[in-house]
Amino acid sequence: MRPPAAFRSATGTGPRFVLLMVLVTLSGVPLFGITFTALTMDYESGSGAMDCMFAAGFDPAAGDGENALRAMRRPELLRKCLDEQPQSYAGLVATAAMLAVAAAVYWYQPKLHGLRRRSAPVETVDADGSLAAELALLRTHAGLGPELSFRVDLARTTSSAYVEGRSGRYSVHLHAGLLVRRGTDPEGFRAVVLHELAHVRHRDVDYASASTALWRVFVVTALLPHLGQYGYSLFLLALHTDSPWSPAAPSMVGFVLVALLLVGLVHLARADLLRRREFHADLRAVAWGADPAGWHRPEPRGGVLPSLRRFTAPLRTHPGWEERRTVLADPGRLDRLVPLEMFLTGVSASLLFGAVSVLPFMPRGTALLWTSDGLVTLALCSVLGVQATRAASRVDRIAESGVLAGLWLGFGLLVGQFAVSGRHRVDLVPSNPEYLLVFLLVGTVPLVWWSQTLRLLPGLPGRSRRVALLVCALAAALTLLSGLMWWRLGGERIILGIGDPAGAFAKAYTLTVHGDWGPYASDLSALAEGTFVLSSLHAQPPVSVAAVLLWLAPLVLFLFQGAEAARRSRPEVRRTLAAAVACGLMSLVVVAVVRYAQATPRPADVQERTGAFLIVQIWWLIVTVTVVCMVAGALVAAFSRRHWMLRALVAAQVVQLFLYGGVFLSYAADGCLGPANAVSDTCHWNLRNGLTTAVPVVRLTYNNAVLGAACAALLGAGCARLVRRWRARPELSLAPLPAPAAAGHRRVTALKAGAVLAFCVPAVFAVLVVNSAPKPSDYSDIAARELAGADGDPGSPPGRAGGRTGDDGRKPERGKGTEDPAVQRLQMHSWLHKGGIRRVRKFDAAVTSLYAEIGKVRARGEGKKRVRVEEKDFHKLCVDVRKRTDRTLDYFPVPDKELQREWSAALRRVRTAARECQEATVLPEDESRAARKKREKKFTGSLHEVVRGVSDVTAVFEKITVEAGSTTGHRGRKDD
Amino acid sequence: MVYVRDVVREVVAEQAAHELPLVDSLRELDDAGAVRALASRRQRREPLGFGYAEVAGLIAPVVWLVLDQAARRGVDTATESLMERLRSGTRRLLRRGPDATEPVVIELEPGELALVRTQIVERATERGMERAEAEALADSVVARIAMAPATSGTQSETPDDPS
Repeated sequence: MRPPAAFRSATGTGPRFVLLMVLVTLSGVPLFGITFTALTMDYESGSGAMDCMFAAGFDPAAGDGENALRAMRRPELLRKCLDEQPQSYAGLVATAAMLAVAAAVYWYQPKLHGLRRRSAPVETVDADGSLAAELALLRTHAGLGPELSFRVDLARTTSSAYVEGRSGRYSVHLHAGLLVRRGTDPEGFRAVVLHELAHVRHRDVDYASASTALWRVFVVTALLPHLGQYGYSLFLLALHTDSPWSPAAPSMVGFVLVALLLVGLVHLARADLLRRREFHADLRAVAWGADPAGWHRPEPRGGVLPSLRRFTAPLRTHPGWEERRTVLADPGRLDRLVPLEMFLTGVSASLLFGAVSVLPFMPRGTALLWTSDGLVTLALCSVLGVQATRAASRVDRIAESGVLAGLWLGFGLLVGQFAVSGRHRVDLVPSNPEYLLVFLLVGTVPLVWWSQTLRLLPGLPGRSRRVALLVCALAAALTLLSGLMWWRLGGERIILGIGDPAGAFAKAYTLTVHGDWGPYASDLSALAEGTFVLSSLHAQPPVSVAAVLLWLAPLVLFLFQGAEAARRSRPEVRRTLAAAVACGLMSLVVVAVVRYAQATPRPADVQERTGAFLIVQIWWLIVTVTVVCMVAGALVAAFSRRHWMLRALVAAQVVQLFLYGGVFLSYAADGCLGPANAVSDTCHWNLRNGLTTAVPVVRLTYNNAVLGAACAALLGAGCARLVRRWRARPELSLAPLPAPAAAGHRRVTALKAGAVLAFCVPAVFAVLVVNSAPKPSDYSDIAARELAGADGDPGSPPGRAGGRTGDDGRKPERGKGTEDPAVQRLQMHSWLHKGGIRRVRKFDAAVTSLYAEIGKVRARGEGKKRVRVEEKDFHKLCVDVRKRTDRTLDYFPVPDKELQREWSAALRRVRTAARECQEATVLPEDESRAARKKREKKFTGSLHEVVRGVSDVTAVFEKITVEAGSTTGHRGRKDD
Repeated sequence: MVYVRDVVREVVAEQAAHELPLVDSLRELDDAGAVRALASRRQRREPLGFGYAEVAGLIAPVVWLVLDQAARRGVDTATESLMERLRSGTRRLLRRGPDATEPVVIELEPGELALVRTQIVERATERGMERAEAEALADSVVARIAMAPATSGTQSETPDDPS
């Protein structure tokens, strides 16, 4: 199939060059930023993002999981602290300057080369003028103008040539030896010159010169200072192994690793791109009339050992002569997706995410992830779209499957992600590194789907083919984006072992869902972990669109093939739908079995059955739906020879709809199912019960089951292929691409449209259910709430503060404190300077006002037995003290656990007393004398208690300042 | 007395006229530069070049290198060439144009002529030339040098004169 005009380009490698240059440019921003920060950082001021981390309890000696838990205790405070950091645009400005320098180097590069090389105009050695005339003829033949000049490189006795220059001003340099060849082998001479002219025509000179200039300037201005800075830091750490920063060495290694990976990537990718452009220049030269015999040249002798040549070949900018001759003989080889190319593109994409996500003007939170991954997806699609389309248009088996290319792309994403995430880790290897393998699926599924879908497109009529191409491209891009987003929203936490942070989700379930969780301990743990895996993508509209298009687009393509193609695809569709219906009916049996297994034994009390029991039952139904869809996908893919992924997805969708129907009906008819009854004992039809149960199942499974079925199809097809190879069955040869279709019969078309609608309507309804229901609490909110609760943390997030008042008995059970005194001092220091002192000063101001009022009353009542108190004034002051105390409590826990307990107790004492004072200063209507006396007593007592509490607070705060090794300007209050 | 570059051009014009563009190109350089170019085996990095290529020309390199060596008679050419390179590099940077280095003059005794002949034959056969052709080439070179005093008036006025 011929790719659309928009995708066509001379060599198809331009987008990869652009991606490489964009990556290098954007990588400059954080590199410059880090170098400037290191040079200008004031280590005593307590400013900087790192201090926010320390204030939140970051400990370089603790593992990544533990640090992530500490950061999750008060995420909103941490976010606010990080947002308050002055935004530095130094990196951006420096990168702009770097670009300007690179542009200047690009512009003057030919002049610099001219100083180094001794060349002369062709006319110098062209006594009879025949050489200049021949070159002018070739230039005209290549469609180039007189702005292209020819020169002779006087000191080169070899028979080659090269081209250099800048946009609009190019010059082909002929080696002096090439002039000898002109006499002995005029065709060979023409081949060399036409090859160089092809480079100019393909704009290779611009790409090569610009990338070289940019890379050299980047290395000198950004990379070397960056590596020098980290090399120096690592050298210091090696000398002072007792430094509190020693455990952070892996994260520094991460930064160095990313920089080195970038170096390797740029060299390999640039060499790879230039090699590909050589092939294209050869092809163009031959197309212009060059004799292919000009490529019959000897391979270089000497240099590296032949055994090592395979490893050094990727670093060369020119392929071997043998390879070039092979491509000239079979130009279609250039359309294949080469593993190295895919790997390098994957690494580039991961590094691009690392560079984009730290740009200063990017949004925060989840929007940042969507934006960054959206840009990465866009870059990947632009870079690979042309290649993948060309590869899929080939008939042979290797190029058609897309599996190998996808796996290499995924492996590249994996390697890049590992290096990029290393910058934020203190562990060299994360606790669950095996989850990184997900990237293999993330890269492979969209590519295989795209490859197989493209083979169905030629069967459509012209206009609808273009629409279908766009829709399929959108689906493939969204699938890739979904995979990447699953990693950002879920995988990154799972890899650190904090999918269910310290059992926070499990605890949240036990607190919010009534019933006895005792018998369901193992179910609860699976539920908490599994829900996190499934919930990452469950209510994301772009993912839902991908989930629908993944099966709907192939179904439409299968059904609306033209007459000739339909003859081949009709049996496929029939077999697929028959298998899907069979699997669907079997899945109803599975639902019944699961219902029965989960219903025995069930709690005797009906009320009990609607709590933990029902939640666990729904959870296992969710697991059942997901697993059954995946199994159905794997089976259909295993038994399909052609379009296995598309057929697997269509079948899995049918099974999915059967399963939803089964779940809905079984709960709507709960009470009529005998031993499988869940809640009700009486048989009656209750649609509401059915909906209540089916909706959460649909919400958690719709997107996941479709994507899971695609992944399972990959595994199923892979296993089947292995088995076939083991049993030595010959591989199926593929039929040639079908001819473009003519319009089908109107009646048949209506039937097909009806079939699509029959599947489409329930699926769209399911998608609406998935995305319209209210979103559950955010992951970080639940984690923060439960982690704060487990810590005995005084500062509880809004909404739980009231409920947790006076919960002093709850002692922290989880997490180790910081053991290194130096780190603890850093944490204390940051705790004070990132908000601790500010809060205490405001608290102090409120207390001072209250004390001043007390002082006034004392002065007025000196010598008197009773003194009149302005209750309104005191009420206002007490409210102020309580608010300030709440605000002081609403902060990161003190890094020292013992001090935290004392700090928390002292502040709560003040808060309780201030609240009593507040209550005692409210004048009730018709107050009796006794009641009044009681209120006066309460008021006096509360003031005494406030003073004692403030004294405690002062004492603990002094301890904190001593521990932090700093002076704060806040002086303790000794008066009583 | 005769210049090396002139002998080379005459021999090449007679024995292998297709190599004349190479000799003319090299004559644009000074003698040291030309010898360096002919002796160099280094492959430069040319990202947009045609690819690896072998040295073109057979007679010009053999004759020029042997005559240059004979003319210099054991002078430490390595040191000399380094200094010359530094000097010419500086001149290029300062944009003073090519250095007006005197071309190498060759004057040989009969015994040295025999040695030159042997060396030309050896080098030419090493590069794949038939022995008879190599000997004819060597004889042509030796004859020109031997006849030089009688024809010294035909030497080039300037080193860069292609006549």
